[in-house]
Amino acid sequence: MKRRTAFFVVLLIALVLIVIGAARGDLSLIFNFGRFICFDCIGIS
Amino acid sequence: MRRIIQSLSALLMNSFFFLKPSEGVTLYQGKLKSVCVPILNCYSCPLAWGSCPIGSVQQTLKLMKVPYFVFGFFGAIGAFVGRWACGNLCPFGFIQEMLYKIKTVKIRIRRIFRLNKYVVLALTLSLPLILHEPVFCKYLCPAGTVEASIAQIAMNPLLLQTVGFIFFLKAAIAVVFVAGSISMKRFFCVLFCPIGALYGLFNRVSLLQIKYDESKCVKCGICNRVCPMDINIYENQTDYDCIRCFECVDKCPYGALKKSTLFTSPASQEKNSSRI
Repeated sequence: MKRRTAFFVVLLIALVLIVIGAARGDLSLIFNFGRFICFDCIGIS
Repeated sequence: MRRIIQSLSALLMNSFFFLKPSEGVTLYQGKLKSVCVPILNCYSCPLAWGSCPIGSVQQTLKLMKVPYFVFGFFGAIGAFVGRWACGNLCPFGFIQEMLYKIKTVKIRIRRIFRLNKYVVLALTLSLPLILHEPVFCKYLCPAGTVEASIAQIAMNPLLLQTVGFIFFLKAAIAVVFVAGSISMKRFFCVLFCPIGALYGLFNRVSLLQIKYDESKCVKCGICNRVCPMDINIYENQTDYDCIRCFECVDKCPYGALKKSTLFTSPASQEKNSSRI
């Protein structure tokens, strides 16, 4: 596959995944992880 | 110019200066936390506005859900700029480049060891499904220790009572990280970073490219010496370790390397260079 074609294929798949993720509520899931201290991340758990 | 962008990026992503530890505000908790930043930046850092993409991926996988949005986000960034974000936006990469400036014995990382980050990536994506915990964040990532642990404990001394083996393990990893970064070029990015590993896969098809003119190259090695990732760009312009910092392009005295895109035709490239 030519690299230019591959670029468009990758971009299209990425955009489809973003739309699916947004529709399934991934953003609120990320928000819920991010708004609290991740004790695993800072080594306290 | 890149140093200014790196500094601004580090500051912009970590500029929540409205902490009130006495009132329990030790972290930004607003709506922007639903947005991932395109690089490694611990979302438990008290000053962070956004969420770390690799942390978000693991937390989602831990719940046995597919992180569609973050995978799409990685794909979109990768498709447009490949690893450019590593070289220009990542505060952690910036820290490593500054540490490498310390004068001491320098060590080169052999090519074969560079594949280690793909092992880390595979484990980062698979182990949360099996162990139901964010394994990379919990056991390896030094960003959490450097950016978040110390600050969070300083603001909330009660956390000290819960410090255990994991904390000391991560503190030891942070010390290794600092020592490694002083003696090796972008030690963590080259060997361990799963985000860099992911973006590196897109370098071949990304919009942003480097064009190499073999007829102008004298193989002087300047590009390799100035490269923060210690790669030979004239051997492979789509190397998965190229962070698109363009240090090689700026420093090549023969003009053999140029910034380019997938859609720049050789003819227009030549026309532009002759105009300059």
